[in-house]
Amino acid sequence: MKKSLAFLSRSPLLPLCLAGIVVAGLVTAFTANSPSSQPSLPDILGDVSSKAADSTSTSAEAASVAAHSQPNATVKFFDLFSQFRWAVLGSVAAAMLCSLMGTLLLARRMMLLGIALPQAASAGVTFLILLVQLVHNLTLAPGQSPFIKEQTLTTLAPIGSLSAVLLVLGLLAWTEHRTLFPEAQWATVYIVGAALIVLFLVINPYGEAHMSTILEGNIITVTATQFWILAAVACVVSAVMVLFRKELLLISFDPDMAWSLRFKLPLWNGLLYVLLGVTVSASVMITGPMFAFGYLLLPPFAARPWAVGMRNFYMLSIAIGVSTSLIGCLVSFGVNWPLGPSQVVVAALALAASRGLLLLRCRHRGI
Amino acid sequence: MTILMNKQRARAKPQPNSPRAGSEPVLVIDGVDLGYGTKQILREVSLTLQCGICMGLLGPNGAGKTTLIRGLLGILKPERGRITWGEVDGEPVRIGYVPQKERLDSSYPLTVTEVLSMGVYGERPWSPWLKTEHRQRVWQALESVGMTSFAKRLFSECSGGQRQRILIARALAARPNLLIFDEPTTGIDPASQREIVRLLEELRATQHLTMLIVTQHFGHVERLFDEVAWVQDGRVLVGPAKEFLTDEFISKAFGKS
Repeated sequence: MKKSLAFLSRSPLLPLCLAGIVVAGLVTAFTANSPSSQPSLPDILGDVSSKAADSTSTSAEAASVAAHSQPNATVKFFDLFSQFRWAVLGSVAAAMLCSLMGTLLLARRMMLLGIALPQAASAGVTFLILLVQLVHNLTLAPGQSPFIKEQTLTTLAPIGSLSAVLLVLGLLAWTEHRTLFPEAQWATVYIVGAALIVLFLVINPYGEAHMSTILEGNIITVTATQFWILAAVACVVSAVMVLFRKELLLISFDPDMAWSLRFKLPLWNGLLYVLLGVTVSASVMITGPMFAFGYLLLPPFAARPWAVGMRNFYMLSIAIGVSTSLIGCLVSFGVNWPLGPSQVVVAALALAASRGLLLLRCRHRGI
Repeated sequence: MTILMNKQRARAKPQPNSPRAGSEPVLVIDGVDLGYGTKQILREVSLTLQCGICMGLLGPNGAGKTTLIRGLLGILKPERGRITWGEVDGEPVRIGYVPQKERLDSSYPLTVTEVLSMGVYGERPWSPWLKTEHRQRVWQALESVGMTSFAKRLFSECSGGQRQRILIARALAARPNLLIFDEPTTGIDPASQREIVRLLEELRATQHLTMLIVTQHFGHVERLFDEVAWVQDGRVLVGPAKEFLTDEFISKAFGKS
């Protein structure tokens, strides 16, 4: 028994198991409390779903709309969780994924890349949709709507996002040893991405109205399908990170030593970049660039001063990520704030608390 | 003073300092050019490192010592020539690399044990966990540098001298035949420098390891050298240590009185 506990405490699987248990528990709880097996947000909100899908709407507004559409229903606090369970679960899964990947980004001092990639992902989405819109306009039949179907946009968005992120990461990996200023390259990706988004939206006359939700990633509108996609991505990325944790850690911490042990560095760096690309593009598509970057940065940053060992670092970061995303949901539903920003603010408060405690500890030790 | 040019190196007799010294070449570099892109740093480098020999790779700042090490580790590919690794006791040479401690980022919250474990990572591909045998070897390596009480401490919280010992232990955990040190005594107080050098002497005496030590600081470490490879102006001169490590040569090379 003691041996098993010791093994568990050493195992990098522990944080993942804990996060899995939390997610499984939430799924079970919400499924048990829900009136139907998998009602999506439009089911709940009926014909006013488009209102709720507006990026400026908040979870509580959406809930009050839902209450009006069902006059006899009493919308209780827990019911909000139940109604928006995919949003809650989606943000928890994204928080777990980003918090895990963020640990390596933080340790490798690549945080600027963390903000540049979501921007590149968004630029990729706008570019692909612009292309599709142009083709659609050319083949437009009389009487046919000039707008591309929402479903087409939702299907194309991940392709555009992932392609752009992988293209950028490929270029960065290719030029990695040819530049003295990687930070300048990451900043260039960010600013060029931002500029391209504006340009593509201006060129695409029908784009902006449709794409704001996709670009900003309104978490509240996360559907069951999107959640399961994100959960699958989270499982695969976490499994690969666990399986190759030694290699990914060594090439990050001491690449020269990795060379001396005959590790194929370009291969392992490539794997890390692919994991990062998949994480960022999946998170951006479902939760938006702000949430993705916020959770790539804040939980690992809050966890770092308290971590003793890398496993501990992963575990703490995931715990902070998952708990702040859940508390963020509570805050959002309680005080009528938008979900994503609320979660990011709560994560920032966790960072502030971590720094405050660190300061206290330093004073206590007389440092 | 006789300083042998690259191609004359083959005729130089290594000073035997261990039972296997000079018996077989661990490393042969033959007419290698190294550089970054279009910028060539080293030209026509040729040297042979015999088993059991301790060679100092010396030279002023920016001479190309680190470039040569990067070439040996496979980070840089030679533009011309060949780098051949020999065999020791019928097995391919295993390298233990001790980097400059400043190159390792303190942003990683790694414990001393985790850093040491990296030495055996190459022996457990495709598995996230280490075998008991590997854990034992990591512990033995920690014992060999007298750092067992630091096992659970954060690597970033150790002093310069302690970090250097830990990195030496990590290299030893890989069961190397050849140890490559990059500036092992830089940024360490004199007392710790003496300790590090004593540790290296002990390792040579007990494990008969071949060593290649990059340094530009004299004071303690040079007494380990049997041979010296002097790097300057893109060329490498090789010869017995006693012919290089004279006051006259050092003052001329470094411009010091």
